Amino acid sequence: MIAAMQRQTRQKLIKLGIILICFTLLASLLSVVIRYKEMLARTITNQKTIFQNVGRMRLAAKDADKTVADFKSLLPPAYGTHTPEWLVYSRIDDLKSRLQATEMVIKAIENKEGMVAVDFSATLPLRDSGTYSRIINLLGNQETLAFPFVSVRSVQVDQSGSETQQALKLVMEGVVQMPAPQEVSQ
Amino acid sequence: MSLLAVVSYDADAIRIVTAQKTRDSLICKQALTLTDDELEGFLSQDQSKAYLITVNPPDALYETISIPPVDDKLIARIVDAELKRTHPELPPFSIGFQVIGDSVQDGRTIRRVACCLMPDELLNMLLEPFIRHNKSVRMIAATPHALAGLVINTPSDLPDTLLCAYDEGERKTLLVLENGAVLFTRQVPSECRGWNTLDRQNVTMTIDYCFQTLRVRPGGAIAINSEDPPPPFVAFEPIIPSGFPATIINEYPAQLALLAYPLPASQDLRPAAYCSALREQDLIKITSLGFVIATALVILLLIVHGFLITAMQTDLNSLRQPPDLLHSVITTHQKAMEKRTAVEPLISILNSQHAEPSIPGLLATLAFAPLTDVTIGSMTAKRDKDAIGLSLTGTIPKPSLAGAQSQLEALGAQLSATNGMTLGNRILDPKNNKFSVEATHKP
Repeated sequence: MIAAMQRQTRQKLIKLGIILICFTLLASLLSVVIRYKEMLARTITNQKTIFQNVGRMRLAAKDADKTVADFKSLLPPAYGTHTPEWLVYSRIDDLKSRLQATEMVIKAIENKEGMVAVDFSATLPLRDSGTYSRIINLLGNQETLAFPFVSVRSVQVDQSGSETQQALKLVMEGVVQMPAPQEVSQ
Repeated sequence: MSLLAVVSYDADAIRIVTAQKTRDSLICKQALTLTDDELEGFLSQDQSKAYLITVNPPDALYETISIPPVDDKLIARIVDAELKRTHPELPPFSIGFQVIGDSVQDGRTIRRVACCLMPDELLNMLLEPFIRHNKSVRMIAATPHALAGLVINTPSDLPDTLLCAYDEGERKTLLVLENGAVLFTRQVPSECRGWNTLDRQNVTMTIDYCFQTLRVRPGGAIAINSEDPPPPFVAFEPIIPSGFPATIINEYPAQLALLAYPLPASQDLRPAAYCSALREQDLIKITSLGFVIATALVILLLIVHGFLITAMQTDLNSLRQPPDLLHSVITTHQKAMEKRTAVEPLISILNSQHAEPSIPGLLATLAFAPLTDVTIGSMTAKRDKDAIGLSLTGTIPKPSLAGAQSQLEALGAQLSATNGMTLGNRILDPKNNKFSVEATHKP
């Protein structure tokens, strides 16, 4: 009787062993599947990010191109073909011809803080209010130009001469400067 | 809900009753009378979850012993030790017992226990067909114990000490009960079913024997499975569960008793080795079942995850960008960024240059309304970092100083009206009415 019972117990133990092996294998497979699913979820999230980033990169590239194009539109035509010194002197020449100063002092070219700069001062007679406006507008216009930059440091308007023959003069100081040579792709 | 089968080994046949047992009900499914050979066929086809066996062999020994009053947990061990001590000559046996009660003898309290001793060899023989067919036997009870359960659970005015008679056809079993415990049994041959004169004489003789030998006088006699038994039997009508036919008591009283009134574990006669092996098998079965359920769950989860992964892969394929497109976008972006990086320092210079306050811009915005007697002799605008310092000098040839001062203040007010202008020192020299005004412009 006991032998028969033991035989049955052994058979049941074998069945339990088979069930355990199946369970272990399937549980391991489930673990792998869950990890794969998690990895897939992460990949999907990454792909979504890539999808969004592709759009953003296109926009960013377009923005960058527009920025570069806008910037280039501000550059003078001679930019890139001439040296900064040439451009600075060209602007000085332009100022000289436009201001029609009675006296214009131009200092030697300097290279400071990565900029090529030429200081200048000019004395102009103010015969009437129209002249004052013209000079102010001219200086304002010059300041809006880029590469090289004109920067007016001071303006002084004085009366000069005797009481009977008083005349107004405008003395201005400024600088024309340009970044030191850099390569800008055209 | 479980399907139970009670198998009774009687003198002339094997009687089986199967029943569906729930928490509240007991419904008889079938009642069979089989031979030994038919039992094999029955066991091979029967679907019962558990089997209960009642057996009433002639070589079973019923005995009343006295033990000290001890804790209930110790009774089984003491009874076993006591019976093995008093019957060293017996082969290995199993014991079913019931405590009759405590009494005082010679000033000492003793506990009387009614025991049934059944040889293990016989029990193993009974269990063999069940083991062969892989059926679990949950109890082996002596038939007198099962019948005693039926009697004590039947509400009646029967005396505490009682003689019960059980008709097995060609054999009659007489048992004496005291408080539901079987003190003594006797099996006598009989000619046929029913109680003839000879059978009734045997009952009378047994009652006399009990009084003379056991010093126990049964208060009455009942026939458990006989309708209208003759004297000396008194009427006995057991309660039959509603799911059983009324006549079942005549042929299957022990089965009915065991199903309706389960016996305590102390009256279980299964050999210890069988119980231990069955426990092991039960444990393995429960563990296996648990792992089968867990495996099924794992399979279910695998299927669910499989579907989810398929859906996710479809999503992923729809999201995945062609490598050529990605490469071209990245290249374009890199080139654009390189171009922008190249011009960024120049843009910074441009921005910083244009962020500086403009003297021509300030002079263009200055607007002076005509002020009487105010002559501006000079005007200086000088840039200092992020601000422009403005200074005006001139004369106010007013006869009164107060008038000159008010004109100076008016000039100052006009300067202040310019956006971003902060007025500084205003000085009027009372000697010559010359003035100076300083202001700072910060856009």
